[in-house]
Amino acid sequence: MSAPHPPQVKALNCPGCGAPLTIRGMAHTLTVVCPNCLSVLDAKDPNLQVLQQFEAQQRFEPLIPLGTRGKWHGDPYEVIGFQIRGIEVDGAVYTWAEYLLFNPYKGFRYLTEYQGHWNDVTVLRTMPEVTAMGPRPVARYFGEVYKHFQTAEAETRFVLGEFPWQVRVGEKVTAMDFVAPPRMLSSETTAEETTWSQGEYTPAAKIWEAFKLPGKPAAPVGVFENQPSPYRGGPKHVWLMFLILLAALFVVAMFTSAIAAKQVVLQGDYSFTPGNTGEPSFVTPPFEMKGRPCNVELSIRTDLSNNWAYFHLALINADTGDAADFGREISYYSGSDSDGSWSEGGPTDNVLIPTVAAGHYYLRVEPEMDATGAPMHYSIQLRRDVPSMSYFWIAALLLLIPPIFTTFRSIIFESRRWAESDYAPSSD
Amino acid sequence: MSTAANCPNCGAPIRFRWSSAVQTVCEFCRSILVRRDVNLEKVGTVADLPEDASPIQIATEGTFHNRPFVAIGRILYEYEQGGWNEWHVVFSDGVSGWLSDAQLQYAVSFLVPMQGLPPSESLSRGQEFRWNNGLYEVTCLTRAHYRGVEGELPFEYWDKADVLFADLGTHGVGFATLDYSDPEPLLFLGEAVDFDALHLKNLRQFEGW
Amino acid sequence: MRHPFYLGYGLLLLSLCGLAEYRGWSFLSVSEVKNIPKSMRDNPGAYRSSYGYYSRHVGGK
Repeated sequence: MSAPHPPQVKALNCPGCGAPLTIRGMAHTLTVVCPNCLSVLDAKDPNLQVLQQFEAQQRFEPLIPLGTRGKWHGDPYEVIGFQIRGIEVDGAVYTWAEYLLFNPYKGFRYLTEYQGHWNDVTVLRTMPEVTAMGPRPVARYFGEVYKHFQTAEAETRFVLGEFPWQVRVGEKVTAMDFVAPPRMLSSETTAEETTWSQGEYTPAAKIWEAFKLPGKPAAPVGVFENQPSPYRGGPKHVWLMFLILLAALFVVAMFTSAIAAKQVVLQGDYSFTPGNTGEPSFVTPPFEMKGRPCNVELSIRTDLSNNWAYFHLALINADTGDAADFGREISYYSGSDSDGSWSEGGPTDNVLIPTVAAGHYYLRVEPEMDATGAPMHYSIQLRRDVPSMSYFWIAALLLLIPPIFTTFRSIIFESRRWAESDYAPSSD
Repeated sequence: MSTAANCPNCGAPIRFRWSSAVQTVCEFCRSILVRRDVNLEKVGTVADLPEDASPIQIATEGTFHNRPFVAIGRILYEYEQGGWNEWHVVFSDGVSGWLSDAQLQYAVSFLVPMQGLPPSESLSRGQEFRWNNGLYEVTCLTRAHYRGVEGELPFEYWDKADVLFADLGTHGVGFATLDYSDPEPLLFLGEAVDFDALHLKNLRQFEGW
Repeated sequence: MRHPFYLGYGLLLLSLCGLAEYRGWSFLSVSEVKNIPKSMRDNPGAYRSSYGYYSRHVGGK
């Protein structure tokens, strides 16, 4: 015959203040806290002996009320205990909440909450391996590597509900956190033993839904130690996409370069004597351009040396009387001095005239130079349908923007995460 | 496999589920009965079991690595920080094992004969031992006393005073216990298991759950 | 597909490049002049460039 089945929820009264108490954890509960007078009572004592009476400077209300049941990982769990623990770092106190969840078959698990960040925590049966990797310790657990985040002394500051262990306010443990977002490992060490637990970062909405909590959860503040990065793997993936797009760009560039006609439509050699009183402008013989509207490359090669020339140019459509009118300056200076030889500018010029339709054309040329100086000999060549790589270079640069932006934001996110750790670069 | 006899104290029929049982408890008069050859001898009376919340009960069935077992007995231990159950389970091939339930954390282990086990005074947390190609580290030292027995056990067990138990773990699922209740230390090797992995049936029912 | 927007952005840039090549776009700023008479061929000096006249350039070190 098995042990008698006691009623599952025991109704008792606090020996100190008479307030009603409920025991939900059955025979597992060792200590229970009176919510009215904050006495920690011995649940195994028929008289509920008072083990500790604590004064709370501040009363904390659990966000999930004690006794709430929810479906968590496919099983019903009831919130039976609540505690606030805190650490002191550089004079500032940081507190977090822990909720004890109970299922009579599956056992105990925890939910922790800090500034709106929630973690789903289970106690480990296996001990992780802690090794020092460089200056920072690392914990290994079933193939995953967790980086040390923080070591601090955690003190229990407030308790409500029931616990399957001897809870006391003021109790201290040495807590070490190791992170591998979205998971983390925590060890708690006392004189008697070391316990390990694993937490998984959980969006608050999941908890609100599981426990049917009213309203909406508070938005989390800052970045929590094991909070998964929204850019997780992102920088690597976006750079991979960059390489793919760059390759595609290269292929298209090579293709357009290959199929461009690069057809010479005009070629001529000329000369210009500065200071000549005659009419400097002239027109070239007409030429025909066939095919789709495309660019036309104008190349001017000169023998300028330590001089400049300005070319007034117009590509005139003999059929329509329309023209593209523009100017080009060519200057070339060179010499040598104490630093060595130098040069500025160049004797040739290439430019692309945009979107020239098919038709009969001629070029009007009017050179201009300083009145003094040597005569200039030059040649002009026009080629239609010439590949222009500058657009591809611009596109390649523009392609860099999203991956650089994503990488930058990812770095900022991680630095916000580690700002709360033992490894934050100190600001003072 | 089951043999029938009568309780020497109250005459109630005693049926053994397991042929190798050494000790059992009479359900009716709560006498602890030890089997000496064909006779049953009363050696004591078991106190009422304390209020206990293990979901396992006598006749609970489960599997461990696809080997089916039945819970046929238990020992209830108590210590300063609470208590735990050691359920005596018997596999379909007759092998005897232990399913421990400590605050709903479960482990299955088997008695392993081993030479050179350390004396209890020499134990400390963090100490490592190599048994059967596993590296075990002492995680917890507990001074416990027996609080009650139930059902069939493979040895005589009652009236034990405070006894040292050492829990050991590996970096995998391995789990071990050193039991100092006898003059010679006993080693149990096994694994920590999840509730779901045991596929337990015929569990205790809890009102409201 | 982890970065649908980036892919779309990249394909857009690619298409614009293709279009630029096909249509013969250029960065050169050009003045469009209309209705130049055929008589200009006989007298090119009569045409005044809409670009205006360039004041002297000083170059060199």
